[in-house]
Amino acid sequence: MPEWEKQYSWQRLKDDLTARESFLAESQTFIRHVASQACFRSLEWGRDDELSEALIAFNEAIDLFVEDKGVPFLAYARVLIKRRLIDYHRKQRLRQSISIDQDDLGRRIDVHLGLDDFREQEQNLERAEEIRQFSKALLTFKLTFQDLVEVSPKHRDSRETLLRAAQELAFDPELWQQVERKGKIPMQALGIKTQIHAKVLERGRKYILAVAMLLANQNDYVYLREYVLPRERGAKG
Amino acid sequence: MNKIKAVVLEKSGFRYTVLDKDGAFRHIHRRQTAEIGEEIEIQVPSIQWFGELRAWAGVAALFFLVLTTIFAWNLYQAPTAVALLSVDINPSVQFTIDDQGNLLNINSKNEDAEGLLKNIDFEGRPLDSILEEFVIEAYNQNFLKPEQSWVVVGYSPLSTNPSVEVEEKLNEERIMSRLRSDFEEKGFTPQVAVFAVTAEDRELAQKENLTLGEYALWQNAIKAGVVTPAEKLRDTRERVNLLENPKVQVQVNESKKDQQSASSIKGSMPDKSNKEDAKNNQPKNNTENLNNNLNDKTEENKKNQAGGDIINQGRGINDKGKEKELEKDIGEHGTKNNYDKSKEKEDSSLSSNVKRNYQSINKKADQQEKGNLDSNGNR
Repeated sequence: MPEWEKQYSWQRLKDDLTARESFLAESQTFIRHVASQACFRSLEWGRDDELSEALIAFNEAIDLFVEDKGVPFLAYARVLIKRRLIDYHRKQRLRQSISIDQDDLGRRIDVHLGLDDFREQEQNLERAEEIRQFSKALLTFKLTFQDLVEVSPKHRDSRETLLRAAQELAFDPELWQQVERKGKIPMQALGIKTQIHAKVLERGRKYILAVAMLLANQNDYVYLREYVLPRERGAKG
Repeated sequence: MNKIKAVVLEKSGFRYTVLDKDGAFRHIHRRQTAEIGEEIEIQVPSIQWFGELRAWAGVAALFFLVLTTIFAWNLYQAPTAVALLSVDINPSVQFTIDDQGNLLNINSKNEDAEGLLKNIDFEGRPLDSILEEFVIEAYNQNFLKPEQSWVVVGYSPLSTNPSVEVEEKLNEERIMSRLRSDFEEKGFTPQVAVFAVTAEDRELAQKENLTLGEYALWQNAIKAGVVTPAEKLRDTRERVNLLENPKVQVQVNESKKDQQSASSIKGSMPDKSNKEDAKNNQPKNNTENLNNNLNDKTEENKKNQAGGDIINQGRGINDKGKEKELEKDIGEHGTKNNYDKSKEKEDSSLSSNVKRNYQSINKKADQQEKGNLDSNGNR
């Protein structure tokens, strides 16, 4: 996760309890988001046990994660959280005889999934899920992948300019709220913020919106956002 | 080309829609089997490759541009006139020659010329063939005949540095040989007088509305003391009279020698002319230097024939008929010497001809002088 990788090194996260505590505290939003998705309902800290299970899974993910494997940490943590929750629900079902109708239920559940077990196929499924979700989100703005290919800048320089604009849009809560509320980019405000010419922004409007969606929804597009982040940071995964 | 990782977003027909690590959404050809969400490697043009391609394209474009410019320049460059050449028989024409020695323009100077030019298409042809055809056509239309066998040619380069092609084509020897080449079979050789005209004289000729040849002849006549109004030079008979006037002939040859010596000093003329000079100065037993032989014989002829070699080169008209006349002449004058017979005939006939011409012309000249004096006296 690029935003926090700047602050914490993996070795420090594993050895220094204070750093781990603060990292866990910062990651609560992500943990809650993934757990809610896995349970198909909104979860709250202090009310739902699932979140405790998810936090334990996330903590285990920190211990098991190896930086050089080329897998994004959050993607790994997300899988671990989901599996832990499935396991948790199975135990609950056995105890309370509640049937849980889930596709993932048939899988062999191994909470202590190692990185080596985190196979390519697993990643592909995760990515495919993200893509389906992204495609749906694009449709709400009447966009398709076909549109994005057409408007995607061919030159690296102009692409990087638009990527920068998208980053500014996604990471500015006020601007992004406007996007979510009105369903369109506040061009004037973005122009002032980025100092990019209005014509350039207007030409790349669809592209900026699509990229900003990937960047703003950090917890949903763990894989896809890696492709639109600036390269020197995105390469680390 | 550069390899880069990309995730498959969509599959449609024979192509994938992918999102690559540079953040670009692309369509790629479906070469390998991949599922949505799978990460694959794709090839994209790298900056270096693109730059190299662009550089080569630039070089190729520049090369192509230079080639086409040179080609277009050569193709569309308007031919420039580098020399003027006039031919006067009775039809008088003036040819403009381009730097390749080809015809650029014809200017007919009288009605006869217009009639003659109607039958021939001269445009863009080389000078040599034009001269040949023009003289033959004049002969066919009976302008050029044994009774009127004079062809006056005047030429003048328009630029100070004419091209090699033009210099080769515009010289006396070549012009004469071209004018005579087709007449050998016909038993008739036209008499050719060739004048090189300077740029100043060319302008003066234009002012007088004379062709180059006419003007040069007129000037020579004036220098020789034979004063004729400029307009009369357009009349063939007057021209022939002047050409056959020994005084004029002497003057013509003197001015030619002056020109040649001047050019040899300047070094601008090729060595040919100098050699010719040397040849002319040495008496030889060929027809061109008959007059020189004559010079040895009579004091009188010496004056007349001193430099008449060029003008009289064409003196072979109806050789057989002439010989008889010449024999008569010999009989009348009773001249005999130790030369062989044929030579004797030629030489003596020419000398007698010249004598006769000289006498008649002298008379005419005297009359004219008297007339002039009278008129001067009246004034």
